[in-house]
Amino acid sequence: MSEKNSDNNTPATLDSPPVPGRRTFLRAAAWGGGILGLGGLAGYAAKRFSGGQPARTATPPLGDEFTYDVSRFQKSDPALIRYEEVTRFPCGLERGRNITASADGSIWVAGTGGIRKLSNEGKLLLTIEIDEPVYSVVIRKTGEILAGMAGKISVLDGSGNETAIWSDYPDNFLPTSISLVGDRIFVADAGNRVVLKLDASGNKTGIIGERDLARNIAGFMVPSPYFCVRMAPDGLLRVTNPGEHRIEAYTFEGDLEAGWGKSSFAVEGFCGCCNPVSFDIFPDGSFVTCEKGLPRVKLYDPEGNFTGLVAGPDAFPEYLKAANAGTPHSLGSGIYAAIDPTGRVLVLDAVGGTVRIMKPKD
Amino acid sequence: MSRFRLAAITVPFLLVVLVPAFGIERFPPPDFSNHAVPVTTTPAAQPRGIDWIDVSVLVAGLGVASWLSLKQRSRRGIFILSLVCLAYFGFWRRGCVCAIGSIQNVTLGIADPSYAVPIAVIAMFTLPLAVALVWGRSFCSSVCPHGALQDLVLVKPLKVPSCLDEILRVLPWIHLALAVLLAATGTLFLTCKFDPFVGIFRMAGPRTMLIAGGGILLVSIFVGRPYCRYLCPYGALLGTAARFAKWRPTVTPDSCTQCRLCESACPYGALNPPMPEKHGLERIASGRRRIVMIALMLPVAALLFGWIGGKIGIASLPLHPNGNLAALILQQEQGSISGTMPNELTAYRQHGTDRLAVISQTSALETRFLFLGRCIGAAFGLVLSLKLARIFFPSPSSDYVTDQGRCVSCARCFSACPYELLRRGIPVQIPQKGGSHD
Amino acid sequence: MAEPSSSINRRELLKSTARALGLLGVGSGAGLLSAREKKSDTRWQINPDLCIQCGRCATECVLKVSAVKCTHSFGVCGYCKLCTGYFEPEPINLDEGAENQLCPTGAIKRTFIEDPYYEYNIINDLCVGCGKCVKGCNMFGNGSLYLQVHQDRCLNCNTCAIAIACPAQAFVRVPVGKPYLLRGKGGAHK
Repeated sequence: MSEKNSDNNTPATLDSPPVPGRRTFLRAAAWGGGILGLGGLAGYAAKRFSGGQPARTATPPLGDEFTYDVSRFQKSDPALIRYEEVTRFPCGLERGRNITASADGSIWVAGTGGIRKLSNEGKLLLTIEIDEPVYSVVIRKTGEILAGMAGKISVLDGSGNETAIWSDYPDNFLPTSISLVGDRIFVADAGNRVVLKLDASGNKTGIIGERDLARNIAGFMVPSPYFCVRMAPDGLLRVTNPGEHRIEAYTFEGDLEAGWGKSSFAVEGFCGCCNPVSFDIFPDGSFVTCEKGLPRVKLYDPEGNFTGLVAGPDAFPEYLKAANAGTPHSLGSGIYAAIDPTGRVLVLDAVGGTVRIMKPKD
Repeated sequence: MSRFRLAAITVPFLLVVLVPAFGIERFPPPDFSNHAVPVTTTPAAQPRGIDWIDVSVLVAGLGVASWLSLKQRSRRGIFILSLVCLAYFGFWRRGCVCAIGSIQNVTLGIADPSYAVPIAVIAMFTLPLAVALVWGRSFCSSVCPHGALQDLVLVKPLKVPSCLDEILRVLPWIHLALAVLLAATGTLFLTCKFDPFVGIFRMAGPRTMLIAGGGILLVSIFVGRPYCRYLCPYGALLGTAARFAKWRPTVTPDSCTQCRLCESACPYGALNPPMPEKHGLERIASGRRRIVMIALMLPVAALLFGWIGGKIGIASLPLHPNGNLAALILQQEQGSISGTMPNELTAYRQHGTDRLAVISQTSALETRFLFLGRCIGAAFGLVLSLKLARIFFPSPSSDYVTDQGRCVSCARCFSACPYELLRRGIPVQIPQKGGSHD
Repeated sequence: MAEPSSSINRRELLKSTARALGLLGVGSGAGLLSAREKKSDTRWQINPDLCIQCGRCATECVLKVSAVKCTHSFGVCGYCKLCTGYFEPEPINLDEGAENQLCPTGAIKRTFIEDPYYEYNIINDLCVGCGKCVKGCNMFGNGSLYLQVHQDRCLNCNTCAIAIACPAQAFVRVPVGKPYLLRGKGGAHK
């Protein structure tokens, strides 16, 4: 093996140490520093100005067959919209779960935090603080307030003081909707998937909708806590059957008389797996329905034919169209509708906590 | 990742979402007549305790490596230990968590009080450093799987010209500085993201990582340990620690005849030629020059690189998820986003996060990036000046000696030295002083 | 040779001091860090309430087949005939035909229980973690389908590549004893 002093530095002897020549080193250092500096600057400049966001991803995205796209349903045809917004105001609750209008025209909202009474302009008239979430609220002719909560119905006086608790109900009782018919009270119990008939003191006098194949009643399919009952002017009760995408008509004795509704993402049907989540009935028998997933408020005639939109998905904010928004995991986060005595439609955005008043377009 | 900042934004929102979620337990599934609702089963996590095996193997490996390189002086022993540690730490444990990455965990642990560094990771960080302080870079010799891999594929080492070598040796410090900056701010673990070999250990990974790993491995066939010498941030720390080691690999216990056989046997340029010691007045003058040089360079370097570091810190802000989100929000408001909405913005809109919260979080983050960038930059300047000082004022020695910082204790140089071979009982011809022989 | 030896001694002394300080520093640093609140053995997991089902879970994992898979909380499911996590938005028929199914890899199994209820099960070996069914279930259904990191497949990288890429910052470190964030009764949510 022979050694070659191939580097341009002085060879090794005891007298002159083989330090790299100072000039060599300085030159090299200058070059090196320059290269390093330029490289660093280039890298950061590239990152800074390359379309704005540096990608934290390292791989290309999945193909189209992996994307779930319902955007084509989220646009509504303007020709179908029959209502326009009059005003909108916060409902005073952090999260709403139901809305109703009392005979005197005031707006009542129930939800997490209790019950709020609002005027037509959105002024807070009464605040009732309740620890548990309130799923439904109705106002009796006497002015008493019935508040439906998990496992019980609370009776409050006009100022919000509790006067009675009705709790003699089966386990899993979850009253998501209450309807008053004279002295009788009909409660849609989402937990047990039946409608309970109560007397004026809250005692159970009958059950509507239990599975009874002899009477051709398959039972209600309620996959999530959205279950609504209303009294129609033709003398029959209307109850949502969300899993079947229908609104069904029952007598007070529980006989199934009729039903309408079809499953479809198109505007005429009910989308998703459980819709409509809420509805109300006009004095002439026509319906206004609310859906979650594709947040829509729609109008149907008394026979169940689609007649138009109150508001389509594009009228509602992003978070109501998102995944996770409408799931009962964030219970009661859809939209709810009620009809006030003057025929206007009240729409509650339960997640955002706003009430909109919609009136028919001229 | 720093989660506490994320929590500060989303916890208020989540409280609103999740508090009513207790109600979900009261909403029952359908009442089946004769079917039980199945229980959701999830596969269990790997059992605990495996970390302690790692630490034990590490301790044993460090002990054996130190003994092999300092006492036994056996290249074969180091070779076998490299295979064992490559098999265990590399392919069995898949190269994660490694000592190189542990720098980031420790940094995050210091910067973020809510992050608890696993004890095994702390051990992986401190034990090789502690050993380096006393016995030199035994970790690098055979225990580190990355080093072992490069060492084992080395076939024909080429000598890297010394000026290029000096400049490239600054890169690990830049890597260290960036890794510390990004880890301390909770942005990401840079070393892990750009680790070339972990893809080979896992036998899986993004294409770019596998190509880079293969590329560096190819280079390792001809250039000894390119990652260790020119990229490894932990190597930078170990090299500094090893300078204070009490024992370090020495080529020959006898006197050196300066035949330079060891220098060409070392594939890593870690053999230093002898440096005659200065005496008397020249010594004092040299010492004074050195102090003056450091005193002049240090503040300048610290200020200059502190300033550069601050700039780099600010430029790194968009790498942080919150910084990225804030940048996207502002871009959208200015209308400069075209095409489909970026997923980050979709998530922001869906979460309903308060815009003001994101913007104010980001400006606090910006201050942090600036401050950390400046400090780290200044520290980098300090290191750079000390390195330069060492180049111009090297430590004296009368023989060819291993460079304390660069020697990775691979034990190749021992058997190149003819005196060592004689000591072992192998008859060789002693080459003449000055370097001529056959 | 008095001068050199004393200078060597001085150097050695400085070195020893530095070494001692170094060891002390390293040791005490290690001790301080270890003394933290003990929740240090952690795994990666997805918070399903933050996830937006962007699809990066399927592509970013360092493994060839992602360790993220769809998980089904049976207690939250509605058992609907028209499952929006199983069926395409406008299915031709409500049957198990591939053209009606949402899942691109056919990883959901639909079984009839009793009228009108159906049970849905995920076949883990087929699931790639793309989140398409999760999106359908969460937008229109009960949210019983969601993505979770399966701990028997996850390598528990020091820095999860998916966590870096997640646009919703939905990845969190969870203790190894309770490594899942499940929905519904018995689930562990913060």
